[in-house]
Amino acid sequence: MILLQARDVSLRRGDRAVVSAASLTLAKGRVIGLIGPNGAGKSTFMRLLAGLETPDCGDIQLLDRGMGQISPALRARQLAFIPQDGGAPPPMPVRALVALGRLPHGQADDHAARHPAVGHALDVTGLLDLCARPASHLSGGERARMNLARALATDTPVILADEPIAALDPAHALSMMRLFRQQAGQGKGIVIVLHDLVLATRFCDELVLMDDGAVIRHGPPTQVLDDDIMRTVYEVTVRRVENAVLPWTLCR
Amino acid sequence: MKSAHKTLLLNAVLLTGVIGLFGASLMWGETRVMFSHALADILAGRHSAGAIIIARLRLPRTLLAVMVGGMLGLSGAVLQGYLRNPLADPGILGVSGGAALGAVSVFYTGLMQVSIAALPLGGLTGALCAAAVLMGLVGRGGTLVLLLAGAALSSFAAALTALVLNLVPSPYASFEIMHWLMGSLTDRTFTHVWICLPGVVCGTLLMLSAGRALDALTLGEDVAESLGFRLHGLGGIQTRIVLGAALAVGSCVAVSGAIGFVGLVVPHLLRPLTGYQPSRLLVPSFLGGSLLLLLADMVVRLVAVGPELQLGVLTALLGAPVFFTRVIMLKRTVS
Amino acid sequence: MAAIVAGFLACVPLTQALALPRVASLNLCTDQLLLMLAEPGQIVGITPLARDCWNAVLCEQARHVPVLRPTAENVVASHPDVVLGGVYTAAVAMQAGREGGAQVIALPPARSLTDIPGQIMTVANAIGVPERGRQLATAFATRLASLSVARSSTDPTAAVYAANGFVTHAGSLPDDVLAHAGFRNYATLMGHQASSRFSMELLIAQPPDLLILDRSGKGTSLAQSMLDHPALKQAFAGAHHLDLPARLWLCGLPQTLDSVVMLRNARHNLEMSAP
Repeated sequence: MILLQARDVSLRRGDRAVVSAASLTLAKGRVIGLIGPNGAGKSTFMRLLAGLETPDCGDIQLLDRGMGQISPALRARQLAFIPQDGGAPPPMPVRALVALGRLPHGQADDHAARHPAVGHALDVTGLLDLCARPASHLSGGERARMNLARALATDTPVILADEPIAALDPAHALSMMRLFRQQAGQGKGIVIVLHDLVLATRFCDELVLMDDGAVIRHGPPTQVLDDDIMRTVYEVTVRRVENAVLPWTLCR
Repeated sequence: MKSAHKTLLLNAVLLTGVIGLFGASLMWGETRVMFSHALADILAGRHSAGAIIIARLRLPRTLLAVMVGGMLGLSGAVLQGYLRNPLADPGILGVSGGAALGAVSVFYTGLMQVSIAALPLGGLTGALCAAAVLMGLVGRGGTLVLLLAGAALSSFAAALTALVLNLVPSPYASFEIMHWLMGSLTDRTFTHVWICLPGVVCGTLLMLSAGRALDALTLGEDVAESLGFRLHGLGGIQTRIVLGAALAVGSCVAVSGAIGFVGLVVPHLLRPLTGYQPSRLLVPSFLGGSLLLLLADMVVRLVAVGPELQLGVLTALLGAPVFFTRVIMLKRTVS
Repeated sequence: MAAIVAGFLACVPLTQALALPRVASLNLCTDQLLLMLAEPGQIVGITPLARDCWNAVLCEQARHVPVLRPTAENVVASHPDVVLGGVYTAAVAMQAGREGGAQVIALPPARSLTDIPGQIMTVANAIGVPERGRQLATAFATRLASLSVARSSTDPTAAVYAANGFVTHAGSLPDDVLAHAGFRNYATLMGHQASSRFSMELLIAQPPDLLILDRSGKGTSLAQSMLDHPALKQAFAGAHHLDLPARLWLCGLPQTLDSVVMLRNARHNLEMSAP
């Protein structure tokens, strides 16, 4: 079942094409990794997919309805967006911040905080013990989990996350990716912007590679990331190592 | 205790304080008035000295203290939530200064003789212009840009206010700059209450309607928008907040002058009691602002030596330490 | 051709007044005395304030004579024979007149109605029209005698309330006018709370029999709008309230006696309205 589909989406800022004719199809239970070098247009493409910006041309369908035809409130019940980490959150208790995820359902304050979806989201992200703590006191890893929990609390079929593991150490990054994988296993469709190609290869069903605003390749990770692409897009050479912990290493 | 109950309790305490001070403000003043006799005279429609003092002098003044203080507190809380900046305050941002300029331009040039509604409209126009300039200047700039723009805007507005006061015909005008820059509720009438009321009601409704969006905005604009709130454009949160604050501040400053720091101090003191949730802070900030201004106005009246102290002097004495504390905290986070 | 005729005509009053000294006035009060006494053409300049009808009773006449800002530079440039001024204002300009060789007369403010004939004579003598001065001073004294009433400790009280809540105290011209019209000055009676400003609340709590609103200055301001406060209107209705133009007693002039007449009428109304 197709949850989110973008076809030939373009967006210009001034006379620069930030996203040009990009396409993406997200099905139920799938994790798509959106990869590409800095400045490739990944974040803008994500904002387009999230309905935060309107494309100049092209078409985005969320659950078979045009993004432009969906009201912001309905869209918020079908799609949750986790932007890049915006720094320290306010000193509100973690549970209250996660409960903000219930706002699209018209639930707020204590009513929202008591909702089972909030408890469930705190549970799966391992934040139950921290839920009374001020969010400003959380570590980077805990903050990333809190942002995911807020998205899960809305209980949407689609989750979009922009670099959710950018600032995390390997252990936290790994546990975050496991969480996403687990949520996909329960039927959600997830798009994640990633820079860690190793984790991308390991946890994503499909990779979408962007460069200069365009999608240059998409498909299963091993097909997308070949030596040729690594050299032309990322400007690094790759040496494959058999029987190593990682399947390959990067050289300058 | 559930946080909703905590907020309810806080509101009840504040409301009790406002009601108590409201009564006290009617009863106490420069002269001793037998309150019960005066009340009987008012109800009987007799124009005794006590009745006139309470119904015509103290009542409008007290009502305005509640309205103006409430509006300043509320708009401070809303602006701080919207800009995600604890230093935002209509006075510091120059919105009050703009409103004073607008009101002065109407009041002294005789435009007010055309229609009494011109006065709050002048204040509203001034406040809206200031807000528009501020938004244009700051854009997505940080705290420092906001404060710089606010400082520039308020001193510019103060200079223009002084200029207007110097140019108008009345020989007294140029001495009245203090009223407009510091604020006072001396000798206000019921006319002032009526011309202030529509802006206060509409502004309050507009600002309160943004409560949920302010909560969502704690996580940033993108999250707020993805949670289904329209921030920009007609009917968006930004329009509602800017228009609401301009309506409220504009019509209040038009009758009382720019009373500073209320919008800074009140949310600052109450925020920890509301779990740092912006929507929970709104009603307490209204009540707290009323409480603070009622108190300041009573102090101004009771300790009067010589000419009456401007209200803004007292609120600044209270507010400046809070401002300094905030600046020190800001310095720590920057360095 | 027209220009030559106009120039010639303009010279006529000048040549007529040649025998009389040329006079500059630096103060609103001397402005008005000068306007009443001087020959046309004798006046080098009066202050711009004299043209303001809020402050000056002779504002209309003032439009026909030149105005001079009361600065030293203007006094030096116009080198008058006589300079008239107050004792407190434009001191440097008066000094400049003195150094320029002019006769400088500093006229203190009139503190009572009986000061006024003397002031008229001082100005009349200085500008060389003693006969006209004598006529004016005599007429004033006669009218004053016909208007004054005997004082009594039971006279009604009156407060002179001006913009910003200022109240007129004893030792001023308005205070003397009150006495001549048969009023006791409220501010003097309330002396123990004496400050120059009275709040509305105090005024309403301990009201005088008559509230005289002393309006001055054009335009709108908070200070002036205070006099229109509804509480004052309600507390001092009908005969208890009198609007008196400040220009009548701002300076000691023959017209100041009009304020005595207004106040005597007000007192009459008070007595009529009393139960």
